[in-house]
Amino acid sequence: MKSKVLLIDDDIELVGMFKEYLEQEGFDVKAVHDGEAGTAEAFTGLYSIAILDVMMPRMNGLETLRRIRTNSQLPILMLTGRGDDTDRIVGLELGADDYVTKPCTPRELTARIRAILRRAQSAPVDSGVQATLTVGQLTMWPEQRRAAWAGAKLELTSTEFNLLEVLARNAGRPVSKNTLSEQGLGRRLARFDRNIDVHLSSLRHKLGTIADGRSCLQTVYRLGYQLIKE
Amino acid sequence: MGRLFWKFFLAILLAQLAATAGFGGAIWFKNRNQLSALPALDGSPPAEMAINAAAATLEYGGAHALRRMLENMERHRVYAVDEQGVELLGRAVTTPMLEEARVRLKEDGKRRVVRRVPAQDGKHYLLFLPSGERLRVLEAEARPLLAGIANVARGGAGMGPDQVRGPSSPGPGDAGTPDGRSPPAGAGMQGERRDMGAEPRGPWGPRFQPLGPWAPVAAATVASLLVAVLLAWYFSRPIRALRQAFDAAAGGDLAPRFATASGKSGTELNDLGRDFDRMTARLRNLIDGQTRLLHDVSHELRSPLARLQAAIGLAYQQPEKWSASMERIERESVRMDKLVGELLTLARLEAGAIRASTEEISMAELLDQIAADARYEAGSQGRSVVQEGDADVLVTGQADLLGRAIENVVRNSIKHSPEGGEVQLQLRARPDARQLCIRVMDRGPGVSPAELETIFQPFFRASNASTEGHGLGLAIAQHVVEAHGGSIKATNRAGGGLCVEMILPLKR
Repeated sequence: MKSKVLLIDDDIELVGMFKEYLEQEGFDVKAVHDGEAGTAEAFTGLYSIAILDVMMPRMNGLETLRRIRTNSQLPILMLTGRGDDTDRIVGLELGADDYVTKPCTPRELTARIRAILRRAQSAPVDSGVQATLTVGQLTMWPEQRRAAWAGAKLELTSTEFNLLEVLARNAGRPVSKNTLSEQGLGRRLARFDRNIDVHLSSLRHKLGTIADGRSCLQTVYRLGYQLIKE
Repeated sequence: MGRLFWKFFLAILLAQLAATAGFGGAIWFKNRNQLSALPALDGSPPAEMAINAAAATLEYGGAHALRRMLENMERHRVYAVDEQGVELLGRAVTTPMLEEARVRLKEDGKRRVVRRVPAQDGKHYLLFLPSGERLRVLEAEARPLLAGIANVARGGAGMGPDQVRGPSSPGPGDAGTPDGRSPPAGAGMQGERRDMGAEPRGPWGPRFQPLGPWAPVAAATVASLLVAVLLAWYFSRPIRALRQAFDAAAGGDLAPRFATASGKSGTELNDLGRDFDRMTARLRNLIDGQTRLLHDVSHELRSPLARLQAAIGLAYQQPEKWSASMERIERESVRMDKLVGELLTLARLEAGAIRASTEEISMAELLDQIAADARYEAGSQGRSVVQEGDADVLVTGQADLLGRAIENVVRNSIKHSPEGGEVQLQLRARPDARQLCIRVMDRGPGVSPAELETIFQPFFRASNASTEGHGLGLAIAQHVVEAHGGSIKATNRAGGGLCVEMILPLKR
């Protein structure tokens, strides 16, 4: 089955070329040219992933992202201008899964889309892995892509889920950012990449605290992150 | 406290000292003149009465009786001077006083303020009342209070004001005075009252006596120091605030700082603060504008680059569509070249590097060319251009720039016209006003009223339109028209569409 990709960008010509390229790569692509149409399409639930341009007239990409996230956990790949760090970080905080700087080669874009889809659709192949992961108050059901904290359901984006899963499998041990990026994001860590930090920061907000009041997600200086095992 | 504070402080202190010296000097001169102008003798009716009483006492009671009487009097203590010039009570008598008494004695008419009375012992006494005695009265009335204070201050029990007032304890060198101070030397005609420690000329002087002679000076000094400090602080504070503001501005912080502080207006320093705020606001606007421009430029350059990369990607992916991809790549590179060219023009115009030269431009010719090109371009897009009016006038300037400006406006109108729409190019020369008015009108969607001004900003795109272009054309047009001394403005037409009006001054 072909993965359905939603392209939201106001540059009609560019979108046309991306569409052509991605279709050749075996995706089913739908292109829309403004945020409102994009939000409406995202809510149909037909798509596996959305590619969203941050710089758009009228309803800008971040606003679109915010609206989509109110009602959908659809994986979202942002297209941001190089150097627009604030846009990028705000986007990740709003729940985007990853970003690609524009201008980018279609090949890079395709690779990123594949990485996100792979993670989002990754069914637990490993039979040795137990169906339920429990660390303290946190319970995860990777097969159902569900997670709960003290019995309450956690609303996680797919990237957040992946990262948390990696941490939970290694609970009590620090996990390097490199490992997190490769296993959670499906790509190698780039230089000066803040992606992991932003995702973990928003995870920290969603998860509760451990008995002594600290966050259950701890930064281990120069090593990475660790999920505290009580 | 900076150096400025100390400069202010010293300046104010000096000014105060100078003022004090000047003022004091003036008063001293005035007093001296007044005193010398005053008649030495008192000629008032009470003085006359006192003299009469003294004369009767002397005549019938003798010198002894007069002395007793004078000793017990509080005011109008008549002077009795014998032929040798010795006063009955031993009070000092000045020569001018005596001379005036003698003169007055001769010319004395109805009012007898100087009398020569023979005593029983045969000696003749000259009776008169120096005018200083009247001044003493005021002093004597103020005295008890001050003396009381002095007594309290020194815990001096048993020394009442009555004793202090002292007519009952006369005589030079009276040691029992509450002041306990040595009387001023040369006390003059008031010498007999040395117990008061009175200054000879100033009736008010003794008021501060209990605090010592340096007290007023010290008080004045402290007060003037205080005032100087306050004033210096008051003046140097806004300057210090300004300096901090400049420091902050130099460090890149251009926030307004005086808007709230100066509620009251008027002083130059407050105005300076407000001017500073205006300056930083302007700078902030400029910087924001530049930042926005840079942002827009990078975005505008990035879009064709992104398309270039996409086209290259497609060429790799589908080598069989090679020529189509190359065409795209070529188109994008041409577009980028155009964008860079326009940006450069705009930057030069904004920097004022392009000046309208003194070339004479035949507007009829220029506009014919533009209209012909526009007609061709519009025709290929299913739109038309109609020219109205004539413009057989000359304008001074740079033909290529002016041509491009008008062309940009016309092209903009064609672009926004609906399919099959008509663009009107209306020309009207007004030789009387020495103006050429060019109107370009379309039946497009128009612009929202709030955006009528902003459409001339670089990279602006109307929110209700999503057409090609970078939004630099109108910005360039505005700069060119203004460089030629003209003006450009946009209005919405009745019945829909936009009208851009350019007014150019004619050649002089």
